[in-house]
Amino acid sequence: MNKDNCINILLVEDSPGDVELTREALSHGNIIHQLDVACDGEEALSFLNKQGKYCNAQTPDLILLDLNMPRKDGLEVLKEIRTHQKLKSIPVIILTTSNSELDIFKCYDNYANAYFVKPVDLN
Amino acid sequence: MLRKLHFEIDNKTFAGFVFVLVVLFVIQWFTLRTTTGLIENTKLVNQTYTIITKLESVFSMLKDAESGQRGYIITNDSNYMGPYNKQRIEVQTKINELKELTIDNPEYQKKLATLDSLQKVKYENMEETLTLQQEAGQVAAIKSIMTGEENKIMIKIRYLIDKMKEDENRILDQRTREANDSSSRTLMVILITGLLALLIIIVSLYYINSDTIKRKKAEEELNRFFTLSLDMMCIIGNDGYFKRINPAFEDVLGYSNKELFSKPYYEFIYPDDKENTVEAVNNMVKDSTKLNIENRWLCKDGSFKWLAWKSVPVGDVRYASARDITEQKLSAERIGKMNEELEMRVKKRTEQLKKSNEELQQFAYIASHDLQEPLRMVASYMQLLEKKYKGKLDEKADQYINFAVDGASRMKALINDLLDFSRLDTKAKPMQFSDFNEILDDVTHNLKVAIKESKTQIEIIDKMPSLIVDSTQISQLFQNLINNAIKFRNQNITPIIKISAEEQPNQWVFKISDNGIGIEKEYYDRIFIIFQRLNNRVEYPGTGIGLAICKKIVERHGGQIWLESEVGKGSTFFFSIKSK
Amino acid sequence: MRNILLVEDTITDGQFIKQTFSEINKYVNIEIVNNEETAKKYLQSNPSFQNAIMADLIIIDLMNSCLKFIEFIKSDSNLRRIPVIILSSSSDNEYINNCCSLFANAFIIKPKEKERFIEIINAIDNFWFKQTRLSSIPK
Repeated sequence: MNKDNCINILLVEDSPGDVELTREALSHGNIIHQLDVACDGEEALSFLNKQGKYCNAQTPDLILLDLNMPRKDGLEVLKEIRTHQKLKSIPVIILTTSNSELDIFKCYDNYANAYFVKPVDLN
Repeated sequence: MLRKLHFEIDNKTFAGFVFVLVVLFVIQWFTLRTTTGLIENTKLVNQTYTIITKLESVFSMLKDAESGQRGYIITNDSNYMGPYNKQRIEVQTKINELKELTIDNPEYQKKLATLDSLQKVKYENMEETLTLQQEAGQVAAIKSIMTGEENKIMIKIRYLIDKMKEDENRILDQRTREANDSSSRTLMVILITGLLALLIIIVSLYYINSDTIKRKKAEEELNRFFTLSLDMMCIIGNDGYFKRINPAFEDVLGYSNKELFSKPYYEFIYPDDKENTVEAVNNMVKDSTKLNIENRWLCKDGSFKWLAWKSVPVGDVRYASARDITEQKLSAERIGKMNEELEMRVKKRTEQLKKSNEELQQFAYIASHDLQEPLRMVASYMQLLEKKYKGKLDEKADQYINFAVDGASRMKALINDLLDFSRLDTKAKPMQFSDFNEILDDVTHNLKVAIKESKTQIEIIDKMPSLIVDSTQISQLFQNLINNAIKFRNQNITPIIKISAEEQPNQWVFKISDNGIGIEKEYYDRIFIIFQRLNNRVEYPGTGIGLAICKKIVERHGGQIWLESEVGKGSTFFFSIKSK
Repeated sequence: MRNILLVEDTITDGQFIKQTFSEINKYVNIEIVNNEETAKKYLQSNPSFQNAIMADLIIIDLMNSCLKFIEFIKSDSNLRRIPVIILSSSSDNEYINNCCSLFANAFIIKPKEKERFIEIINAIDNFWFKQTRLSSIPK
């Protein structure tokens, strides 16, 4: 946790609908935050590595990671994060539609902090 | 080797023969006795005759002697003295002989003694007279004779002899009578026993004859069957050659009798089976047991037939009978092949079905799973809209949004239920021993809120068993049924749900009864169909899958589910779970 | 039924956590061990823990640094799927960082007040058992 009260959250999600939902849901929480969005794995890694347009990006305090994404999918991103010296300590919470035991196992096996299945219900 | 004579005559016949034997013996004995008697008799008769003759001789001798004496006295011729002397000796001899002959008859001896003394007296007299003649001359002697003294003696002698003769004659008569009687008796006996024996022989003959007729008939019968039989029957000697065969051999195998008698039996056996058969037959003879064997025999036309044999050794030979089982064997093979084929087809079909099933399951799963994603969008944003803009747009907008939200949530429920339903088989846990009391505890815990809100009373009447089940699914089962009972309650009455269980052979039957709105009989079957509902959605929410899920779960556990209900009064749901 | 392995060296804390959990969630079973070694044995299904059920969650509340232990868990292919929650009275950033670098799943600063502690435990129960998905037996 940062010393400021505002925490930076990086949301890696390809579906804009889900992005909005997540944004909405977070706003109902009690935490002051800043939400950054990367729409796929490549973007996420650029962001984290502060490459290109993300050169001024803040290192997030929390990463919310979707699994089903084009090009680089969530698992690969997770693996890369966990092997990156500077990034490995960032908590990563998987947020995905997949219910599959295999996916859950793979994520935990690659040191995800927690695994959430996107609920159908807004509440 | 001496063959033991088998005694096969039956008891009756034997008794008959023994009887005849006895009778013959009896006859023999009788005859023997009688014959001996007759011989005895004859001896005695002879003796009597001898005695009589001798007695007569004595008298005639005496008479002779007298004549001699008288002649001499008259003529003085010494030739007349010859007989006189001779007879004296002879008479004595004869009397001695008589004495000997009747030595065992004391009375007779007495009489003989008397006779003896009398004849001696007579001779004395005659001597006296002779002496008188010598001394006194002829006239004195004649005068002495004329006194008749000598005559008196002679008369006495005569009388005695006559008496004795009479006695003897009487005895003779008696003896003769006896002999005759005895003979006729013997004859009778012989006749009777002869007739009896004849009778018995006739009876025996008749009996033997009828017996023989019976036996002949039986033999004929057997022979007829032997000849008629469709099965092969034979007698085989220890040398392996057929001793007797029935026509079936020719019919089945095609060889003529000549051919069959020409070789030992094993020459007709299919080569592969020959060794086994011969060994088995030898064992049978050695151990004196029955033999059952199946083997192949070569037919005249070169083909072979399967025969099922039954054989038994008797004395020097073996009796055997066989049945042509070629058809059966072929049938069995055919059936076996057919079965194999069927098995394969069934296997194939099962695999196909399995595959099809799996595909369907997968399809159901994927469909409901992939539907979740767009559904999520719709549902969530509808809800967001509702939140953000409720009251801010016009009434119609509110209404529309309501309908949309409602629709989305129903879709969610349906998809979830479909997923659940499809998971009943795929996500089933392995069956384990589970305590139904615990399961009910969990269920009531899960339905805590609903129970409280509806003020439902749940009574668990019986202690629940522990059975081998998928506890998650049983939990679901109970939960659905109890939830229904709560949902379809009568307003204004405290809903009471009674749960009971009853043990039956091989299964447990559970009862969940409520005092709710009940179900009409015509819908009893429909309610178990997936998504079938009987009530309107507003009053009684739900997708209509609860009971379909219940049915599937119950059936997965080898049981059945049914109900009894009365509209307005309540319903009772029953389901059975196998206990083994 | 969920199983928590609580590595707790303070007996009173251990009792308190166990008690609190049992009140809020009856489907949670807590096994308390008081040092890393025993915890290791437990997790490796050592014969002395024949009936040890695989833990769904590991909570470490040790006074000393437990980095070695975290490393141990997260390097074992069978164990790393289990979320590890560190309870510590220390709020040293570097320590926290180190823990996270070793892939501890969460770090909670132990509150001093009882009510707060109860809230934390509630939060743990809620987050880990009711919200997030856990990995079951690995394939």
